[in-house]
Amino acid sequence: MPELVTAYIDGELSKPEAQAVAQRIEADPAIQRFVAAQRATKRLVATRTARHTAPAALRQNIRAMIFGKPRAQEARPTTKHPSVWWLLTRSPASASVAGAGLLVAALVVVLVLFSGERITPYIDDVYAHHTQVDRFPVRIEGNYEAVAVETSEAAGFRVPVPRLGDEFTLRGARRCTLCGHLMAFVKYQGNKGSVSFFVIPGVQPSIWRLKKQSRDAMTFYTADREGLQMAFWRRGGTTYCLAAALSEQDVVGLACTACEQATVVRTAIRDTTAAAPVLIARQQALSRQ
Amino acid sequence: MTKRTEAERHKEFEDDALVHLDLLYNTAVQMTRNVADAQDLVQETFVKAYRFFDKFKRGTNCKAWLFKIMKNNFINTFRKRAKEPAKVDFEEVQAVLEAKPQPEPLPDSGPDIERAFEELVEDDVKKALDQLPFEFRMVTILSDVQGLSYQEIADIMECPIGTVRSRLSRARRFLQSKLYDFARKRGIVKTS
Repeated sequence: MPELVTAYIDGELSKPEAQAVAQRIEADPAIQRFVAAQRATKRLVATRTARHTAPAALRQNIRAMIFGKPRAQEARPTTKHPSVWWLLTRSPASASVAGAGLLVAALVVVLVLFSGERITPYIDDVYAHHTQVDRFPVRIEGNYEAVAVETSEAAGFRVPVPRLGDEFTLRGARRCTLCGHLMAFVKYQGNKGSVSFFVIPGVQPSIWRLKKQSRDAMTFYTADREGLQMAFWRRGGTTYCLAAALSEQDVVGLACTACEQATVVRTAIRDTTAAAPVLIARQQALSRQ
Repeated sequence: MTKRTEAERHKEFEDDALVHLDLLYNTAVQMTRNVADAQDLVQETFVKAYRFFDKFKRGTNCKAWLFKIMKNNFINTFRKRAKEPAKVDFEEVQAVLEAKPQPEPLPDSGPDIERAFEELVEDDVKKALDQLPFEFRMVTILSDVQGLSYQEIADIMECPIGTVRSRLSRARRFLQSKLYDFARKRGIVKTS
């Protein structure tokens, strides 16, 4: 009977079937209440479910992919080079010495969406930027102390993160592909010695041993699998980090929350949750004596 | 048979397929629960649809054809990344539907539950929908949100109409129970 009522409410019964059901409903108050509740549920779902209209850029991009028309303009700022002076003034060894001043690091794991169509332009940018970075003395090293960690409430999102008091060291630099801000890689001082670590959302926490790779004058770090890496960069006294997907063949891409052009949506790595959790660890400025 | 020019093909695709972009996008957001994933899904769907557009018979239900492509894309690509495997979800729903004495106690008069449901907000509905397993959520969205017929839904989900009816019926009872719970917890419905 419930299924017949469902079909009756939806107008999916033949005329004779609908008449028979209508008669049964009329004769039975319990069924009438059931029908009313079902109708209310259907109406609620229909009227209280958000409606989404496709963005104009999506339409344009689909046309571009299919028909070869011009793609929608994506907002990309001009490349900035704000932090070279910061890079040059930092002494590799002194960062571990307190007198360097304020050391601030904010850890933001950004899950970045990159479709196949958008990857290619970014690779050249990354390589070009990194080539420039290579010309500078890039052995940026410094110890950052995590003083506060906050996490999002995304269920089941567990990541290996620095605990309070843990240290990690910046080991290299790259530029954000969108804004040109310098980014730095991190080496994490774990309990069992120093390892570089990744954050892989949706996967049980563990410390992944990094494999150092060089390609086209670019040095980067990959995990033993998945190819997810973390990069750090700094802006206005706060350090941000980014998780980027890195395959054996290509750099999938990088984007930077500092320039506010990145869209935090999901990771390109498989086996991660579609809910795209975001982990934020905020670190307060330290004033070393 | 005259071969279509590329321009003709483009026009036909615009007229027959791209007109359904908003509908597909809206559903994709409900499926993926994530706007950027939805954009990806829709993009992949239309690219694939264009690739196989020659196989599509003009005059037949293009909307259902597109939805089917999107559903399969979702299952093949996005759903693999989902945290909860479908099997587990179905068991959870089974437990709710079959372990308790069904249905949940409802108020004595129909208008009360209708009044109670009027007080609920989008978030309540979203939360309840999110608890449905994929197949049940899909039929509910396609039927109650997008207004598709059982036949269209059956074509998209590649299942018999009877299965559509059964899933929809169970999904609505599940939602009714959940939404009534929300209303009760909020004090919108007084329990005796």
